[in-house]
Amino acid sequence: MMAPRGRAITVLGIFLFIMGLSLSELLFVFIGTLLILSIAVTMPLFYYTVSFADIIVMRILDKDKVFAGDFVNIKVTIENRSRYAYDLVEIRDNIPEVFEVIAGDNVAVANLPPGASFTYSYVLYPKMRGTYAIGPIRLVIKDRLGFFWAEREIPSITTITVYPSYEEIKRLDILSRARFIGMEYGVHSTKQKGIGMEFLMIREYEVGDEFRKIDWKATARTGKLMVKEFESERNVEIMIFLDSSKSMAVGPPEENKLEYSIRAIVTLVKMALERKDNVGLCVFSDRVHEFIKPKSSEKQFYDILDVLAKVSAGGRSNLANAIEYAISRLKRRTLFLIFTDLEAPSSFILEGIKLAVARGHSVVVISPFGPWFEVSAEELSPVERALAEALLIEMWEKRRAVAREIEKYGVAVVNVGPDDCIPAVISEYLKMKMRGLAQV
Amino acid sequence: MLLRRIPETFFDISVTVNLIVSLLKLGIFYIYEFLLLTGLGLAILVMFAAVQIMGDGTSVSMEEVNEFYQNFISLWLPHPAEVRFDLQQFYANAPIFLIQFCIIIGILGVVAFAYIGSVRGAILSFLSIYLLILFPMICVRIGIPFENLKIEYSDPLMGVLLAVISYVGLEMSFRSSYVDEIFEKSMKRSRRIERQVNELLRFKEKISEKPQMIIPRRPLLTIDAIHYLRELIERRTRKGKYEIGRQRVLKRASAYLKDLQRKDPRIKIYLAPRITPPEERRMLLSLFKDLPLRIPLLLTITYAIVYFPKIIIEKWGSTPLTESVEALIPELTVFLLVPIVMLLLLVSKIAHRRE
Repeated sequence: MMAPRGRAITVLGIFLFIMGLSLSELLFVFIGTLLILSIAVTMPLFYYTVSFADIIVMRILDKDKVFAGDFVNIKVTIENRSRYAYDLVEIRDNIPEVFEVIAGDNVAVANLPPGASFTYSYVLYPKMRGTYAIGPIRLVIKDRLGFFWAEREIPSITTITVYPSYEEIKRLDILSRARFIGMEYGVHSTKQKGIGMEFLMIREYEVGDEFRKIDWKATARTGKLMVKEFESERNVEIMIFLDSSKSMAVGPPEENKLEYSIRAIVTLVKMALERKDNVGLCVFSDRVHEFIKPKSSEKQFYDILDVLAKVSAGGRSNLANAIEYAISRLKRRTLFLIFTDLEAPSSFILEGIKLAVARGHSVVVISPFGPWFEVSAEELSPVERALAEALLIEMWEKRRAVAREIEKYGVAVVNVGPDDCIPAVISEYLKMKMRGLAQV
Repeated sequence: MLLRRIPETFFDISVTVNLIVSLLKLGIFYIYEFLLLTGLGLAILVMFAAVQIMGDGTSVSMEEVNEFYQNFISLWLPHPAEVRFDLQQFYANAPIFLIQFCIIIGILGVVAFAYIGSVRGAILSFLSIYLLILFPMICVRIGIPFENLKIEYSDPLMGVLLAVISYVGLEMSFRSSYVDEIFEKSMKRSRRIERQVNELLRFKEKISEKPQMIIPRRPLLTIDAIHYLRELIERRTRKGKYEIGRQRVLKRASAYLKDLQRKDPRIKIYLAPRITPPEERRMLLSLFKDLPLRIPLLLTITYAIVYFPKIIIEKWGSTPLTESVEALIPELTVFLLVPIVMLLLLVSKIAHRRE
């Protein structure tokens, strides 16, 4: 292709040539012809010496699976195996838009004598989970006079899987002692002998609690009737259902219901596997996209991460279909944790819940409430805020109606927003574990 | 001598000065008329409205308004009657001015290329040479009597020599500016990235997650207290949260880079690679290999295209051909130029395909 300088010289040459013809002036004819020929003669010589087939490009990543918010170093090496020297080679490694270059640059300029190689590196910061392709590599070779350049895309693609962010997991590692988990997620630990299960927390008395569990010291201290809670020592089996329908992805790409649900699931899976519980995953929308049977191996965590990294929203939600699919593959009673926004037709939801409960499974619905994720009050004008509040009330009423229907089956519906999504999930898990539901 | 005659008026500065003064006078004239027409219209409207409001008995004439407004503008601008603009003189001086402008641009272009290696300067100086010759010819052709502005050569071949010298100069400028243009940009980029990487390695958090606890001596008045309040506010606002988040990322990036450096001490070189310019020896070798081949080849082909048809017709052409009008016109060169250019384009296409 002709560079701007080449085009300028060509136009200048043609202009002077025509001027020479119209004014019958030999000088202009001569200089015009000279300029035109300088371009015409350079072109075949340039294209003859350019040989992309002899340019080898290699890309090395320090890891091809990384957590969102982590860093990955990419090294690109380019080698000239031809007998021609390339004085100016521009190399551009294409990166996904959601990645940020935090150090170095994905574009480099190299001078490649025959047989020489050139290496450069850059550090990427992936912000969002998913499976991405790095590449292809675009090479541009320019000639010494700046008249021409040749471009070629080398189809060198490296796939990188970005797992959901592990910030919460890191916090979990720091808070791995039961005491800290209690403080973080609203439970309090205590010590008491003689009951045979692990002590976990003291809470307020609820109708139905056994009198023998009343903690009189705590009651005297607080003035309210307090009971002791114990964590079951037996492991539980958990099946997580993630609704990946289109409505779950409404809102900002990194801050929508689906992303928060995924982060909560990652934290939950990590925590459950550390306690040797069996955890499985079912990703569904109008059909089941992925299904992982509950297991408690270390590999299970990475298998689930692999699936979560690739989840993309689409289609409508059909919970009944997913639960039927899962039930046919589960041998024992399981705790179903369903992450859905309850925006599907209620018949699909209720049918699924009914089926699960009928088969003896315990069910908890974790439901991100849309408006809390989709818009921030700071972005709205006073009029918009008033309209949003009216819509919010209407949506809330509809949701409450669906939730009431679900609760008739003894299933808890936990409404969550961005700030309390993860704590609510952890809290429900601990409660279920304490009650000893779906034990293995 | 290359040129037999260069018109003296090319270097007459008073022509340029007169032209610029004429242009200023013309400008003043048009500004004055513009202000008069727009402002006068507004003034009339205001006066009319004032008369309507004040009622009968009050009257203002158009002449009085006009006079008032002209006197008002004359405080800043001379009256157009005092500004005499001579169109004929303007047309007479404009071509000289344009030629002098070309000379100045040409000199500036040469200076720009010599001092900062600007290729645009080289192209401008090249262009200015030919415009100096071209412009008077065009003026004569379109009927403006500027014969006295035409540059004349001592020998017709001197024109060809001028073309060769100017072209060689242009090509040399392209080759010599290569290092400056390409490598200089690359070096600047490399230095910028190196600076960024060094800053990242030395990164220290600027905004802490908790504002610094200070006990101000004079609680309401110290700068510390104000900073403390500002940090509190920033932490709560979205911008503040973004800044804290960003600082966290940069801190982790710094730790990651230090870890990379521990594993591979050459990482800084890879992150900010320096492109080394070709060896001077190799560049000179390339120059002395290319130029003696390329320039004579181009000149030979050009000479053949421009002169051969005429020579061939004169030597071997029949009388009707040699005495025809077509044999005299320069358009004969097109008969050779177009096929040769097409042939070269075809060869380049084949070479491109082969690759």
